[in-house]
Amino acid sequence: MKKKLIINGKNTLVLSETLSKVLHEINVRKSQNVAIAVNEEVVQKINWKNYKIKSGDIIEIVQPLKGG
Amino acid sequence: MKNFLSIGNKKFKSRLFMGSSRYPNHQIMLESLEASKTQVVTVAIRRISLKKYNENIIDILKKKYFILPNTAGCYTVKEAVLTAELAREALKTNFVKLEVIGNDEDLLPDVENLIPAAKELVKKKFHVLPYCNDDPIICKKLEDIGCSAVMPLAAPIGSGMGIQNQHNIKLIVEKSNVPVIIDAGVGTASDVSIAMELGCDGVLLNTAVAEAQNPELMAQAMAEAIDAGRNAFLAGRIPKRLFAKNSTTNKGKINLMKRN
Repeated sequence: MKKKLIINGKNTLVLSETLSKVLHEINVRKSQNVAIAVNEEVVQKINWKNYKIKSGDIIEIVQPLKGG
Repeated sequence: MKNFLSIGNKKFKSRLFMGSSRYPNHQIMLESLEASKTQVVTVAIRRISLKKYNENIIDILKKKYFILPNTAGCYTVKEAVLTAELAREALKTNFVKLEVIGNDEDLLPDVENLIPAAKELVKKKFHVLPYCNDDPIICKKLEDIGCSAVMPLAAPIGSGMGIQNQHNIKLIVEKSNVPVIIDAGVGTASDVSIAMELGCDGVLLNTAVAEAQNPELMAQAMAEAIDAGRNAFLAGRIPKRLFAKNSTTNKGKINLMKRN
């Protein structure tokens, strides 16, 4: 069954069970500079593989960009 | 005499921090950073695009510069703290330029939220460099809660108006036991020199170089202004006088006799 997530502010349906697989499913390349928060808590990269996603999760996927 | 700027466990030979935004293109940014002789480059933390390719500037910058993430655009304590934590995870650094602003029109710091955000980040073992008002009391409070530096603004971000309150900056420098870095509002090289002459430990700027007609040349001017201002500060300027004081002595001057 598809899970309904909010990823970077947008409603997104995914099939994957873990954070790692969600990234793959939505085509996020695992650049070493990406960081993720689920429900306002940072999930460290080493835990992406085992982090279970559930419907309703709010996910922020960020990276460093140009800034002052 | 301190030849290095020390913040937390880092030492920097250059006292100029540079932003990485608003350059005409990548190449000009890299050339300008080079010309500025900076060692510290700031970046923002933003959502990746799920649709298009996300450019990765960090891998290039990381090879040469110490990357200082900011919390630009954050309005609340929660937003700023989470952004800093994401930055730490993305960049493996516990340094953060903390910005908590009040609105997106003047981009001025919201100190009522800045202070609790700084407190929380210090507790979470961050080296916090807060962008703050040119207010000696606020700067002292930020130092007291454990910030690694204070970064009072010269003028609003991107305004290019230069230091609006030199007296306050001088007071901050006099009272501060942590580095004082002027952040925001620099327009041209003389603004940088003035900051350094007042005794500031460094300057962070972006738009003044990135949007100059010749960014690379302006970057070079900023580097020279840092050195000129710093040396002038260390050399110790003369006091200002209301009346003139001759530099050449009158002794031995010819004195024409009146003929009649």
